[in-house]
Amino acid sequence: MKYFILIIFLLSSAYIFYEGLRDDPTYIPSNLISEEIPEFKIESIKQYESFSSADLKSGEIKVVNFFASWCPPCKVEHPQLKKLSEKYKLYGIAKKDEIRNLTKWLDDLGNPFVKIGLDKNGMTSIDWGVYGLPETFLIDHKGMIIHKHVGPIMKKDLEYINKLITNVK
Amino acid sequence: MTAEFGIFFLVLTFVISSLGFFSTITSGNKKKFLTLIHHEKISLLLFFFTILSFFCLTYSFLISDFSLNVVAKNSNSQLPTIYKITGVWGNHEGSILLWLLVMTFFGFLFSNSKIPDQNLKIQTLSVHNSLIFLVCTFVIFTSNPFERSFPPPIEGSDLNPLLQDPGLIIHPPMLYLGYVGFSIVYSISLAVLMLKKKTNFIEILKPWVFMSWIFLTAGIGLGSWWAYYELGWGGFWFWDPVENASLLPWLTASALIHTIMISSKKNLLINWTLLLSIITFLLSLLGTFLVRSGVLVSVHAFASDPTRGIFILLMLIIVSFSGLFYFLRRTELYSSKHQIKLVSREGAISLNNIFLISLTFTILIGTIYPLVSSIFFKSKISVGAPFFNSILTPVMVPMIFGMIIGPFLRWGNDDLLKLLNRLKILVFLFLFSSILLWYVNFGGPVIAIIFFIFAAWIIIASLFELTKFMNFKPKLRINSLPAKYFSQSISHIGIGLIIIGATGSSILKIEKIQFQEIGEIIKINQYDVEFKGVKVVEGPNFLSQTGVFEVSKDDAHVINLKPEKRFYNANKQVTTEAAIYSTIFGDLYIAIGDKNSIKNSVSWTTRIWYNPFTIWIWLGVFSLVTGGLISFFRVIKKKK
Repeated sequence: MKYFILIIFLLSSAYIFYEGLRDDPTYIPSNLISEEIPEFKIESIKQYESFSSADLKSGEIKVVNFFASWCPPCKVEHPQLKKLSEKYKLYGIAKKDEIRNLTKWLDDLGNPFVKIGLDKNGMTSIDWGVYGLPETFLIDHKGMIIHKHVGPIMKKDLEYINKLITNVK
Repeated sequence: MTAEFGIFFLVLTFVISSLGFFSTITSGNKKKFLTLIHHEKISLLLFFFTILSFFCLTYSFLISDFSLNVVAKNSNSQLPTIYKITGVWGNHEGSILLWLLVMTFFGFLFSNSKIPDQNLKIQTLSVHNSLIFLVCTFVIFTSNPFERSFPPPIEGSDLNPLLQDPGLIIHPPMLYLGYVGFSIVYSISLAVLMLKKKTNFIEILKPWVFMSWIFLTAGIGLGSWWAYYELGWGGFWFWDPVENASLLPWLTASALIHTIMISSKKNLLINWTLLLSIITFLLSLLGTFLVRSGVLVSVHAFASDPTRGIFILLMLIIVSFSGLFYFLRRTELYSSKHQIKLVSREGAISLNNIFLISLTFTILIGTIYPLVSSIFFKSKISVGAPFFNSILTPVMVPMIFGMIIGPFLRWGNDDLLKLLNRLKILVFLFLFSSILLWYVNFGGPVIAIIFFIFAAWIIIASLFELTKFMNFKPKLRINSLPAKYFSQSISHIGIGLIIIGATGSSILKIEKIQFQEIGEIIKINQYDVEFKGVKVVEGPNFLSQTGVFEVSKDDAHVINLKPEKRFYNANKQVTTEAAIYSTIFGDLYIAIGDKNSIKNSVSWTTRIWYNPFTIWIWLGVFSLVTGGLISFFRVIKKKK
């Protein structure tokens, strides 16, 4: 009996550690997945139409992108955002950005967003649990967050995002 | 060519140690295929070839042979020579080779020591050489330090700047000497259990337990000291999984050095001593697993690799299973019907053991719980300082009382009332010191005052024990005082000092973080800290932004402190070098951050701490080590 307990104990500990080896401890999922989007307020920018949480709670599937003109990886994902904007409505939130730089950035690279707001002091980003730029959220027609993408969206990620959206539809 | 020699010597070690492995597997057979002479020769050869291999690696680092992967990734031609040498163990492959070297060295030492029971010596060496075989397999198949890359890079990518530090020269080897020392403790215990006849092994085990405990204590102390001044976070202990991993075997080893006294004096708790010996080594291995595999998020994640993790896990299973299996099988052999009275020296030590083990398991659970939670509940959590601090306090209190009363209790049986009568003066001293401390700290945090009082009690009780002994024999000179009183008192005083330091630098610490402009004065405790500006200084392989702070107290100049922010050329890494002004009352600790330009004014982020009594922690560790050393030499002398 005692040997049996010993073996069970060793095997179960080994199982935990073995599973632990396959797990990436640095991966942190968002608490907001499958939750309704947080209430937020963003500043509007003259040339662009702004939005609020109410805008995201109805209608079709939307993509919310946190970006900034000072963020080089955001430039990397820009072509992919343009691709996405052909199919879906993109909402942009610029974090801690200067309006002048932001408009220049959008003029140079093109504007994929239907609406844009400015998160001047970064509070909205905190509410959304954003910890690095860029970050992208997929919102379903009821205003629930269905997916969060951390870091720039690359070409290979587009396929996954498209698949995810068709599944939800 | 050196590298080829290095791997050749490793393979020789591998082949020779396999003899030990087969001798252990076949140890059930009546006819042994290796005699004592063979085992002794094997131990000598293993040590000889491993040290040659280690020299080959060190030489490759010294001549900056970047065709070796390990050298290319962890060294640089600009690196000062001393860091080229420490770079050997500043990476996974080299540090495991160091582990192997220490292991073969201890095996060699053991093979040269006089052991009356020949069978026990044979069995111990054969178990130990099997462990060497496992580690050597690990080195050759998953962590070969002599692997070459082609084409070799022209320049190496430098040693991790955090490791380019005097503290790191000795911290890892010390810790390894501790961890690996317990491999001998394990080998002796397993050998004892594998022998079918009862044998007297406690006196053989004792010096190894003390020695390993001393190294482990010093290793943890040095690591903590390094984290304090190098990481620039203002603290000395962060309850990081890897710190916990080193604390766990330390706790069980501390329990072990207490029970081994009962085992040696009263021939009791022998099974418990054996179990603790096995568990301590298992926890050392678990520590290695946690550091090397990257299963937990940690500041020590510099050397993680899942495939290596699987190998260490396998090793952990083999070693745990053999140790615990034989322990269960032979429990009858060393069990005793004698009951231990609660109010007696043995009783106090047993209680101390219960609390130490509870603490070990609670910390163990706290450390690996994030893993369990992530696997079974699919939720990511982290267990941090608040959890560990909250479990530490309630367990510490009874342990402190045990530490105070225990040394005054008689062996066998004692009476609390009689004890109280014997200690009248001490109780009076306790009351007096408590009132005094309360008065001095009046208005401060109550919990801090309570800990200060506890620490004072421990120190007073330990000193009292010494003076009491001298009173009995007025003509006694210090050098004729029995060493055991000294070692115990000094170690316990060490714990008292650590409690004072830890309380001061955690509960009473003052922290100021600000944008400080040049010329601006920040007041902290009694000091005025004026920011004089930042200058750029060139180091051997880095550029440093050195902040200059003038510290004064009551308008009198005290010291200029120069915290640095270093930019290492080769790998573009930035490190913080805190500047610390230590006094026995507290440390003034300054770290400098980034430059901020807001609306024409230029300021720097500065973090200034006042950490009361931090130096007492290091004094405490020193005191623990000194106490351990006295015990160790006493045991060795007695043995001779």
